[in-house]
Amino acid sequence: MSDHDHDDHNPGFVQKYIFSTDHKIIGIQYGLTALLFLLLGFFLMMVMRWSIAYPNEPLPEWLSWIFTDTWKGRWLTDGKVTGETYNMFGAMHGTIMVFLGVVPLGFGAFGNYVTPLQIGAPDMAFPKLNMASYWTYLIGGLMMCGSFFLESGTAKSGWTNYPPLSAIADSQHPDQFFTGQTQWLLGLVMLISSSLLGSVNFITTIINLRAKGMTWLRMPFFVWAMLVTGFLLLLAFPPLEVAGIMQVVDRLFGSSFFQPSGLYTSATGVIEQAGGGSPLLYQHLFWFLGHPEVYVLLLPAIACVAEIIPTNTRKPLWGYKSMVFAVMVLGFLSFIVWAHHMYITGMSSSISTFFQVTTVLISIPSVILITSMLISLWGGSIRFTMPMIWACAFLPMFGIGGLTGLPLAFNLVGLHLHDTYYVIGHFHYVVAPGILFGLFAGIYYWYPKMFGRHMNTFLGHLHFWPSLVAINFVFFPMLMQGMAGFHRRWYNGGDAYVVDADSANVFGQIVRDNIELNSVMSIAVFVLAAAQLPFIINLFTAWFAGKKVKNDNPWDATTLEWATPTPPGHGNFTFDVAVYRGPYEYSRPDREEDFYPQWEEPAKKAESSDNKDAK
Amino acid sequence: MEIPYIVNARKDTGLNNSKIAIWLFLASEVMLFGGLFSSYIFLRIYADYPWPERALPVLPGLINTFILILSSVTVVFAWAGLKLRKWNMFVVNMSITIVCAAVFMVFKAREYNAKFHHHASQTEDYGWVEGHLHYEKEDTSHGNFYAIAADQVNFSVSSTTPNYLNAILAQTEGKLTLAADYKVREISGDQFTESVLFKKGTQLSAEVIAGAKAHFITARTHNQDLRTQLLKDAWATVRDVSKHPELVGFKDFDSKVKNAVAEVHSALVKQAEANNEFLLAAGNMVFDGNGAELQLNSGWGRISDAKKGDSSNVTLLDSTVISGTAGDSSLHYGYIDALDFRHLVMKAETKGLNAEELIEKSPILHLHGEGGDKIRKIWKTHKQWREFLAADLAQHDRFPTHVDLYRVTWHQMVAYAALDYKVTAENWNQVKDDHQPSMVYDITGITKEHKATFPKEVHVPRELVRFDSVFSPKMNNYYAIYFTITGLHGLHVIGGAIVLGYYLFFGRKMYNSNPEWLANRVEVGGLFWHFVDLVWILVFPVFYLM
Repeated sequence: MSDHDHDDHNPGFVQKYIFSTDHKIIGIQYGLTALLFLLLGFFLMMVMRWSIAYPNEPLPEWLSWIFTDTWKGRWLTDGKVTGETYNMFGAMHGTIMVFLGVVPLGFGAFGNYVTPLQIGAPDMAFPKLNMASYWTYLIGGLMMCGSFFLESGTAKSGWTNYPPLSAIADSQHPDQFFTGQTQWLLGLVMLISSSLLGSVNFITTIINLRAKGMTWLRMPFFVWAMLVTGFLLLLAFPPLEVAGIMQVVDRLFGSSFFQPSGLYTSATGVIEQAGGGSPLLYQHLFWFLGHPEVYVLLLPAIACVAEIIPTNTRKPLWGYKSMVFAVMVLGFLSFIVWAHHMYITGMSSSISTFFQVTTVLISIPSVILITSMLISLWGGSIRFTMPMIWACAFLPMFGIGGLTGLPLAFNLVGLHLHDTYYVIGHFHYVVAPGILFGLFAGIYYWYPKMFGRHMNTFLGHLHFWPSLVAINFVFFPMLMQGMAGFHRRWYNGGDAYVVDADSANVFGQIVRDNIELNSVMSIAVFVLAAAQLPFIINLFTAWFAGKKVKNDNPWDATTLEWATPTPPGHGNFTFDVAVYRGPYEYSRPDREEDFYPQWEEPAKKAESSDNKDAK
Repeated sequence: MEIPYIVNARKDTGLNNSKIAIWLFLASEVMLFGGLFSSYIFLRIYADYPWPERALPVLPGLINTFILILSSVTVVFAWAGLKLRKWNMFVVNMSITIVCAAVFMVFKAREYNAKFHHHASQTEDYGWVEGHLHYEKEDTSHGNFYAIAADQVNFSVSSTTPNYLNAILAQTEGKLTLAADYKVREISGDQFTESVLFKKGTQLSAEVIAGAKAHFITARTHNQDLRTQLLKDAWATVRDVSKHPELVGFKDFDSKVKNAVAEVHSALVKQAEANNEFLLAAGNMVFDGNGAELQLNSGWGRISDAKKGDSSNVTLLDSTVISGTAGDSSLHYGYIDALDFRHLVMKAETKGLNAEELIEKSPILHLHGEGGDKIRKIWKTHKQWREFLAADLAQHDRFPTHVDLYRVTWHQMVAYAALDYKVTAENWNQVKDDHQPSMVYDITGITKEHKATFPKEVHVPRELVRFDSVFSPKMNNYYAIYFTITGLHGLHVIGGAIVLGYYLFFGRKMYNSNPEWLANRVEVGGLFWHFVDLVWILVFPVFYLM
């Protein structure tokens, strides 16, 4: 960016595809990396699900082949997953899925690829920062996952990493730096730095690099969602960075920010530390990020779906403006609901009342978003293309996820359901069949723009239908088990509590009534895993064997990314971009075609009404 | 391709890209330091120990405040220099800015260094002594060690840490010998062979541990693999209807099935053991200590009983266990420069106990030697002094604080010596009631004459010590948050100085080609620099004055 004579050079392979500063390449890098991490997170979860459903049986060959014999000798007992190993996998499953999988896929990949195109910008405002953001993310991710090979194993205190447990975990290791817990924290600090670079870049780009005529309310909803996501990342992550740094200081320099006085463990007796710290402080710092993070996960998926629905119903997005304002309100409210994750800490009733009210309030903008998209389907001439099928599934699946969250907003119910499988079922409905389906929709939708070829529809259906069925068999039983009191951290799925049919132990009988759901869910998970194979095959074979797109705008869409060549070259647009109308001008009665792209210059006659906003 | 609005502002937003970005970045920074200062409030409110107040050198902090303010002014002049296209004005002002940053860091480093060499011990009754341990520079245990005459040393071969092992090797000089033959059963081809890998009496060396470790891991891997296979077989047997028809209809989680599996599995394991199919290599190696005397860094583990002459264990973090007879592990203070009973009083008050009585019983006032006598003398004098202070304050309807009553600073030690440890109505006010020593000492440090008045060569027996630390983050959460916030602030100063230094030393080329662009960059860097200054302006009162 500093040297002008770089403009028309021909960069080599490394500079073009590896250390690229082009937002599209970086977006694809983010996407592929995130998909790999998702695969890893999914695999960890399959091992966990085996342990839950068949706690007394060794891991089968088809799950354990990936581990070396030495690793199995260290971390498995008689081939069974131990509690410690389960904890490692659980902590890393959550971490990988949230921080290394979904956020980079939604914000990093789609945000990077699509946002500059949709606002008509040649690239991000700071291409080098963009590259730095990707590499910081990758290093952070590798640091976290690399600790699988350390003597201590990886982090093992849940993805929330609550002290004092997380402070004690690995504390027996002489070299604190090379322990899973410390590497997790340092990796987290890297990820936060990465998202800081990313969010600054996104917001600046959206504010300053919009094309001529791209006024605020002509921006596609996707861009709005990215803008809000950027602000969430910018402002919510630093407190977690604080918590991470403080825990690193605790681990490496022996402070006790989060360890209370007189902390006792059976292994060491009273911990030799100053004490006087507060585990509660960590929870506040964590959830101050944690809740906005939920919307960082969600908004990119909603953004993708909000683009796909108008294109495939051939009618404007219903309630575009209310959606824009709803997403802003949502972003704001997400900062003041965090303590609803902490009802069980025994907060005063006035504090919990505040957080119950804000939590219920935040459902209003969420419902506006979902309802608008639902109503958008009404009366449309729906094209059930691959992306549209995923988008349609997103709506009810996310609906279940959202509605099951409502009871959790209330203190009374929250206390009962805290840390049960109900909570797991709830947020997995949001994230997996909700957000991930939305992101799959996005992959099928923008793939033709990225690679100039369509993904195979047959393989797409083979991916979609089994996924939809299996994923419901994974998560719906969780809601049932959770209400029966199944705890989320049972590494053997309740085997320790289950009693024989003739026992008088009431809780044991409840466990007995519900424990068989474990194998239902686990089998569903293995089916779900198999259902991803067509996708993986599709993703890579379509790259060179897919049906070629007929023109630059294969979906007959209206937003600016379809005005670029396919795939777009460096600098994106081949003409001087100007925007003449809103983002979703479909089926206008005054037009012969059923779509009116943002970039199409209006005919002279209509100039008076259409062109006056273009600057 | 060219990114627009790098240098010039966009008309409708009125901003160029980097101006937007820096304000966003600063918003994020506000959240970062906001989180840290919120943590400070949280920690201070919930502190269950006396929160240190005015414990930092005020004068250097104050000077640093003005240094940073000055640099914030000069960075603006540097920017103005570029705007006016006066290169020399830019160079001079930017240089001053960077020199200011360097001076700031020097003060900071001195302050940190003093803290890292200042030690404190908390006795079992929550009394504190502060002072300086005397230790040689090359002494890795920092004069703070567990001494033990080893009868036996037990290594956990898979986790033995090189630097612990090396320390033990260096101190024992071949005295440690293997207590029993270390036998292994290995597999070569299809043959299991048993042999003695290391004979009884073998001297401890890194190679011995490494050799055992390699065999141990091979054996563990093989044995786990075999046990896994046998467990799979056990399940197959139990679920075979012809072999266990009575289990038909029972679920996998029914105790009948689980017990049957466990039974079959253990039978299979026993059979394999009888056939010698398991490899053998113990995870632990026990060495005879032969009375070798060891001094081990107290940060490496724990000691079960530190009283000299008692039989004791030292357990290191890598699971090495040394058992033997405890030596002299007491903390050897070169000199003591403060006594503090506030924590004791705080605990006593919450329990409704008589604090004064407890202080008199405190081990700190019963230490042996000349140093112990000096401590008693100082405390006695202090008690006299605080009587006069209380009487004087009572005339103004005021009363002494806990700091007045229960803390003796080095400054008071000097003053009491000057009064020859006799406080009278006439001379009592020569001891300043302001317990902060004159700020000048913050710069000059403590002199030899001062040190002559301190209790010297004080040995605090380890078994009386509840907790000890240098004034690092480990000491308590005040120091922890102080080091975290000032440390992060220091990193910001260094980062900012590097960026501004880059403009200073490598900006000329850009100045020639596009001076406005350089001015924009300096402006953005300057905004960051102002933020760093602003953080310090919060840090100074919060940590140094409150």
